[in-house]
Amino acid sequence: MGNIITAKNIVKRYSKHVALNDVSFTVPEGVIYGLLGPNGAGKTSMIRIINQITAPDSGEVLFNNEKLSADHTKSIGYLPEERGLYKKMKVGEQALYLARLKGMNKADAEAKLKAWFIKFEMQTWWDKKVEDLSKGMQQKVQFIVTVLHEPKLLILDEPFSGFDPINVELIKGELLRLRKDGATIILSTHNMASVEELCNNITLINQSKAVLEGNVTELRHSFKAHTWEVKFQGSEDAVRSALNGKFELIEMVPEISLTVAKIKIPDALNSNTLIQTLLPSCTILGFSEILPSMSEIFISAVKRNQPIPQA
Amino acid sequence: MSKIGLIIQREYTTRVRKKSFLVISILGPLVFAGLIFAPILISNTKNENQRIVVVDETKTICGVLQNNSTVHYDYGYCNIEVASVKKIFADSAHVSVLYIPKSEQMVQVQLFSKDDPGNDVVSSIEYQLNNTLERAKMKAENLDQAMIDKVKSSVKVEDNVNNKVTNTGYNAVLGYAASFLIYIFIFLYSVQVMRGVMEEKINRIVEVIISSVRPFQLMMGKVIGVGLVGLTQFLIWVILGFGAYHVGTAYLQGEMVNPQRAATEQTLKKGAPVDATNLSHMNPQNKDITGAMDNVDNMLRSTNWVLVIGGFLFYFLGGYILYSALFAAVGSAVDQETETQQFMLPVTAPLILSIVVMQSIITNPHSTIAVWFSIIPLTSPIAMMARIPFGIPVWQLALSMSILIGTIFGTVWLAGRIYRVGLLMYGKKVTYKELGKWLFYK
Repeated sequence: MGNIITAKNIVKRYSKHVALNDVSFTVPEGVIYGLLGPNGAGKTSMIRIINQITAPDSGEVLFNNEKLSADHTKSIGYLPEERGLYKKMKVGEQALYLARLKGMNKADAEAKLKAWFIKFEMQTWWDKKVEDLSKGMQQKVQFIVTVLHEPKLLILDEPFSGFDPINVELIKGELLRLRKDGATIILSTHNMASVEELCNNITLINQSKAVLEGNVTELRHSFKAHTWEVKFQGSEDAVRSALNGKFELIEMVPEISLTVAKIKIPDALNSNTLIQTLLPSCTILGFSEILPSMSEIFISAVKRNQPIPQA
Repeated sequence: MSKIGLIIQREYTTRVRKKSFLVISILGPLVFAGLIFAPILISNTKNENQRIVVVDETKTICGVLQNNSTVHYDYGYCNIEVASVKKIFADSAHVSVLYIPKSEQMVQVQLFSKDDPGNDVVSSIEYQLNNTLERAKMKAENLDQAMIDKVKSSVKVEDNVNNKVTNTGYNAVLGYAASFLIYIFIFLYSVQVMRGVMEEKINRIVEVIISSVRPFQLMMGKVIGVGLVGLTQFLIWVILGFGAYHVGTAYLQGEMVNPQRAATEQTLKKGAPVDATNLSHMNPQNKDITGAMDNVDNMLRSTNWVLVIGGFLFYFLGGYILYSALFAAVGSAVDQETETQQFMLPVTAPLILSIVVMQSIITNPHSTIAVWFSIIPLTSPIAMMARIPFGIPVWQLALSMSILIGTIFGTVWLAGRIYRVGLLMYGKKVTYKELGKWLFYK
């Protein structure tokens, strides 16, 4: 499969700062793609460029290998971080309006909307004014409006903020289903747990630059510290003395009827030597490698790119 | 439907469906009609029968004043002392005592009553007394009636501009009304555009919308949609106002016919000859109204309505688009209503200036200041409209219109540049310098 988005050397300057400095990345088709980065890193600027809300000062974005154009807006669904609806307008009428702005015809939009309203159990909301809905309810309406025209590319900026846990699960389920049906989703979020859970690939933007790009599993393996978790029964002291000198014991936590140890394997050795070392001293119940969380990767990547403070 | 069409439709329907639109549409012309007709109606409302008891020390008026449909003169107390007559009728409603003291000139006549008999009665008494006194004096000087009629003159200036009968006062009223309407509409609806822009920005719906349409489409959709609301409102006003005018004049004409007929019947009953001059003496005000209406009719005919209405629509729409684009840019640049102040002032200044200068333009429609104001684009919608009814050189009109059109294109482009950046700027106060930079953002 090809790449749905190819961003090449994007530069975006505002009067007082550079929002994006030579950012390039590619989003393969059919994945959930995480666009990560600390606040103010330039994520929203990038998203706005893909949505053609603003134009880059230099560089270009390709959509399915074509230069981005007005025709592509109907193939993109966008849920901005700061989102709202017309307060005085009725829910159904408003959803229809926004759907038609995306190029849907009225009958089609109405039929699909009704189906979504049934799916999300909100049939009774159709004639309510938006101002009479709770924030969570409004978020649901916004989500539906974003996906209604079945876009090839969905761009969601912090989609889970403002939802309760039940609705977060509902939305996550929908995102996974949409990916299965062939949509590509760009997810911008600070919620690293949901990145691990949902995203196939990520780009990390920090201080206007793309500092990390790749597949989530591969990234976690490349950032791993060769640390293993060992669950065992037996004498803690015996294990300690067995490890002595060869392996680094990070911590040892006794639990009910077993002990959990975290052990770092030096580069010269591997997991088999660790098992061989431990075998005489205890009964091994579990043995697994600890991969870094996305959160740890995020923090270490951001710190690594921090400019060195001037003395 | 095209995207801009959808936007226009939404802007239009959400506004027209509002209750406030209905209220303003109906109340507007009623208030206007009320302002025009209220004074006439008020002076015509004292219709209860009035009895005027005449106390005449000069012995010349007793029996002279003529009754009409509502006023009945009582000559039974002519020679009785005024103080005692006043006492008799002190508490009687609808009875007045007319006291004519002994005096050569008869300049000070007094009317005593419990309640105000109304303007009609007073002016009728004055008119008849003056007439009587005049005739008496002329008779004393041995002038006969035929001679008097010959001497009386009535001069009217007929205003001919370019060989067409016109009326300067009327042109002034027309120019004033038309340009004032333009002023009101520009203000009313440009501010609505600004509010709409701010609503979308503050609601944060704008980012969703401009991911579907270009900001320029959104801005123009709003400007056109709200403009159509203004036109609709205006059309409703015209129709209702026209209706109210016709109902009003029909009512007034009915009022005028009735007292005359009643008076005629009364005179016939008494067996006195029906005298046309007497009839017109009955209620001098009626004659004024009939005359005024004839004048209005003549003036309506003298106006070049194609030019006036065409000019009105052109400057109405042109001025509105020019200013609403500027107001849209202001709305996009701020986060809060209170912040609009700093940008509103320079935008509204030319509008207010033109309304201030309008007074001088109307008194002197061909002065240098009038010509310049009607050519400079930010003031021309109001200034030129004030001049159009007076008749203006074609080259001035053409110049003013083409400059306005050119300025509209430039301003809309400029406003669009500011608008598209401003919409997404939150949380900081914007300076003019910054607005300037926005123009060059990609």
